[in-house]
Amino acid sequence: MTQANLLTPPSSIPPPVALQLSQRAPPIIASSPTSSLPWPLSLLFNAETPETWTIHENLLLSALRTGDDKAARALLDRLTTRFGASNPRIITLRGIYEEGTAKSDKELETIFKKYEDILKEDPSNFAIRKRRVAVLKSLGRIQDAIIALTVLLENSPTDAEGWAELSELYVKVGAWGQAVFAMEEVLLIIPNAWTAHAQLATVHYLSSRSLSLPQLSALTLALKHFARSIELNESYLRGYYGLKLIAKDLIPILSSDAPSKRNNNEDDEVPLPRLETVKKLEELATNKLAEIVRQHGSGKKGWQGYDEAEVIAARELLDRDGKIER
Amino acid sequence: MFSSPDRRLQIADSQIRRFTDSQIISMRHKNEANIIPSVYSTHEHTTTTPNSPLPLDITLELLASILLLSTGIVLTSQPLKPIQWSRWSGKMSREGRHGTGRWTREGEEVLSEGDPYAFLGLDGGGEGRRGFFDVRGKRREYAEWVKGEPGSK
Repeated sequence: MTQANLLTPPSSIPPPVALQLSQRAPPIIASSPTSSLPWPLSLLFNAETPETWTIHENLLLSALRTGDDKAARALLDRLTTRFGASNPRIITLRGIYEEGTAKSDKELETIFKKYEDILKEDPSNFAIRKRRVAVLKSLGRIQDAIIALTVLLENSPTDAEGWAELSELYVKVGAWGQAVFAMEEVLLIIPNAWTAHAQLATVHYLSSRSLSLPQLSALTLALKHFARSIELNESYLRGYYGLKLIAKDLIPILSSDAPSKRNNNEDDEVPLPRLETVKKLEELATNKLAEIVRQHGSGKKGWQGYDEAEVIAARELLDRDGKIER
Repeated sequence: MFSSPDRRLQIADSQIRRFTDSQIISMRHKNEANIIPSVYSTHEHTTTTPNSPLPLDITLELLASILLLSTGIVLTSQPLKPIQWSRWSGKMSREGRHGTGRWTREGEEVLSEGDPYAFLGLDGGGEGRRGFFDVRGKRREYAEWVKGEPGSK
């Protein structure tokens, strides 16, 4: 965690880390992994590994991010000579490079048109379809991005990445029902992903917060999916955090006017959890969060994988809880 | 852009490499050498005297070398992973990614395994979903950071 890694970039890259990554460019650009000798000899003096090209790709992206366009161009050229200009992945990387170096929205529009042309030649290039969505999003045309993405997903309904992106776009425009649907599609494709369960629970929770009246069914579903996420990952901070947050919302509702709600609720297809169950879940979440905060805080080895900000948030949640009880 | 078949091939390839590199080569030097003489003696013995039983010392040599080879495989293999899904993922969450002590040619350390669903980009961070990489947004973020801290570059 001390030094950013180009082979497996961290899950979040704030600007200082991006700088650190792109400063790794000069030595890598200086030494060519491929040999310039003629064919049979080049096989002997080749130094490339699969990791080489992953590193090149990641370096290209971080160079673009830090505005080091010269290095990015050099890396892109090297990738192009190695894999050929018609390789779908190279076409996409070139597109990203052009997007990054575009000065204005107008230039971006021309890139967008170029993508259309590429798709006319090869409609099966899904990476370029995704780039189109990204460009539309970057131009602020969220509705158009949603339409483009739904077309993509109609043709490739098992693309979990696409569904996840669609869900996020729907959240952006506040279409909670659709966002939930898209996340459920992700779960159909990869039901074991604890992050997907936690995300679906978050969408349910946000939807319950956005409406004025308390949405018991949405809260219940959020509780269920957070519970599932910790069932799939026993040390998942986000899962426990969400569980505690929702239990705290649910307990007063369930204990105050439970009978009346239970009778005249129209969405009876979602059975409400029992009060004792929710209380037990809250207790479990509190204990686990306290353990994570304690072990991480004491610098114990084997507990340092958590994100610092997440641990701080968990500590704050626990502190708030403590003050109310006192 | 990071189409899965490509990626899977790459992973498979790197795993094969890893296996060949660390396991086979070290083992060949340590243990495999022990097994070869006994196999060779067996071959010699059966071709020269096909009707007599195998002498005891060849059998013993073979058994001893197999034992040594098995011990070598057990000792040089990677630490075992938890079998239960939640334990395995929990361990990953607690420990995070750490170096494995192996380095690529470019000087990047190979890290231990991480969340296999990070490509969905659902867990904060904002670096998942590389197919929808928002290059302009990231550039803007970086440019603002540079402007905010003029002395840092």
